[in-house]
Amino acid sequence: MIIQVKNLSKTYEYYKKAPGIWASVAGLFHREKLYKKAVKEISFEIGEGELVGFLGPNGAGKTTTLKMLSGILYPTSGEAKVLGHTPWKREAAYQKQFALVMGQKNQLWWDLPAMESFILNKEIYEVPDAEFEKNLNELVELLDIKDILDVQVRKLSLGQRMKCELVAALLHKPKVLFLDEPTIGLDVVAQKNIRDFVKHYNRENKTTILLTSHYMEDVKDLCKRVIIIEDGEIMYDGDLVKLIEKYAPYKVLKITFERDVEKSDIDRFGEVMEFEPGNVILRVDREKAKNVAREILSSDLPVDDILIDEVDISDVVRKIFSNGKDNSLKA
Amino acid sequence: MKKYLTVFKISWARELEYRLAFFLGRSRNIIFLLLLYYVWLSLSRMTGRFAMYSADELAAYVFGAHLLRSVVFGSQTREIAWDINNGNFSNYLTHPVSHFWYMFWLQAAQRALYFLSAIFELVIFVFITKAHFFRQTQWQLLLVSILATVLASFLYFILTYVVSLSAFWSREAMGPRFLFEWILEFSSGSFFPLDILSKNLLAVFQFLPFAYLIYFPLKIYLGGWNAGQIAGGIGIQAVFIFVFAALARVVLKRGLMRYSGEGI
Repeated sequence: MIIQVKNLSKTYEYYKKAPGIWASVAGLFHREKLYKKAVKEISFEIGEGELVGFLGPNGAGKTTTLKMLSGILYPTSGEAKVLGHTPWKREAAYQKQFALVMGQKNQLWWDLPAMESFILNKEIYEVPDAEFEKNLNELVELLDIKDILDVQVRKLSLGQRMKCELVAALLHKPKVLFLDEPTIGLDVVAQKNIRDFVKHYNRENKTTILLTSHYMEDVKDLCKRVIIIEDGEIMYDGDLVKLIEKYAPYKVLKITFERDVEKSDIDRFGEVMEFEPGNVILRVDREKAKNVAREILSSDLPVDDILIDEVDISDVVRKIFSNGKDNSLKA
Repeated sequence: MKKYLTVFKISWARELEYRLAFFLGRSRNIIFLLLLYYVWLSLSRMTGRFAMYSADELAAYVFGAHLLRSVVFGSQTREIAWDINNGNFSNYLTHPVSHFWYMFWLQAAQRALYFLSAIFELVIFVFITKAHFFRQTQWQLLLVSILATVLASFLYFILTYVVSLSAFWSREAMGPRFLFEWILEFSSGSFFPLDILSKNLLAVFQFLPFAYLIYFPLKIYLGGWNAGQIAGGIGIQAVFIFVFAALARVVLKRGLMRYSGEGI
């Protein structure tokens, strides 16, 4: 296993801060210490070449976990090994084999062209000249950023900057890549470009990738396996398709009619989720979906088209988050 | 080592990217130079001396302080507190670099550039004003004063590094840092030779590391100390460097235990 996490926990200490000037003055003399358990005894393993989606609402503990795995934070308790190293020991041998890319944080030199940061990373990671040239050319071509290499980072668009961040992070060919919200704030085209690149890179290099994202498109497109974390606890760890099958034991039938129908004509086939006289979306039990579709087609309803589809993964995840851990699933 | 030389080179590129900030920074130092030169010139004009210094020695002290301020005092470590507060510090923890040496070479690059600029300014100033100043001719003293200056630069860096690390405990580290810089500038002798003050005050200053930043190397240049005093002073510089380097190590280690990478 490339990543092994066992009973990892992190508790933050912070101080209570009541609003108002008097509370601030009082705070000079006495502050109440509070504790927040951000990650609670989580365990998981990730194998070589896996691309795993790490999902959860804001404050669930995703980024805290990534920070521990990349050696930024010490855990409160528990163990983790990445490539056989304990991340928070910050051994150079480990640091040379992984990279962390944060969508909300710039790692490049802001005032200088990205190329300067690439050269610095070459020296920091001790990449030989020939290998640097080869890797750089490959990445620059894949991400199509040849024209912006000599432009100051501060003048680049968010999408261009993220591409450069990826190049800087991958020049030393890391075996493990932590991607924290790499598409945040990007337009849909830029998001797709980044997704396509990550998919290609993972496939070609067998890099192990742990990805957090708020965009379900990223997860649907890239990840076969997902780990869902909420309130610091893992609620699901397994195949994305199985998550849908287990947590959404139904499918949707999208039916188009040649002419208007009444709602009462179709509600006997399943739960009506959306209704317009000419278009209906029905929710039916997963096992019965084919039979129900057949029944509708053989009825006297004026069916023009019928489509059996999975429920949207976003809805499933949203539902898991909203239901809380009472409905937690284990793969 | 090559990585830190690259940091040095890139830092120069960044300094030169913001030319206005560079010139404004230098302007502040030129104003100090003018102010101090003419204050000491007028104070020593009547008798040709002030305290135990001749007018030429005072001019040499002011010019030397101008050079040493440029090579010793740096602002680079201010970024450390800022990086800790906004989470940028995490970048150093995920890369195979030593934060201490990374910052050191950033500072060294900035200082080297400011030093070159300070030399240029002084040459112009002396050319225009035709100022007289004491010139040390003993190469041994020149060499030792250069060594003391290098140690002073290192000592200043370590002192400010430790102070900046206080941001691990308080988000308000910049306030104490500014206060620290003011105390340091005054008690380092960057405005006047410290031995024009009372003996008691001088004795206090000599127990602090600040006196070894500007006053000590300049006093060596002026030939004010014997070999024993020079060796003792350099030994004290080395001890302070060692003590504060050890302190920096401990403070960084403890600070990292508290670090939460806020802002990312």
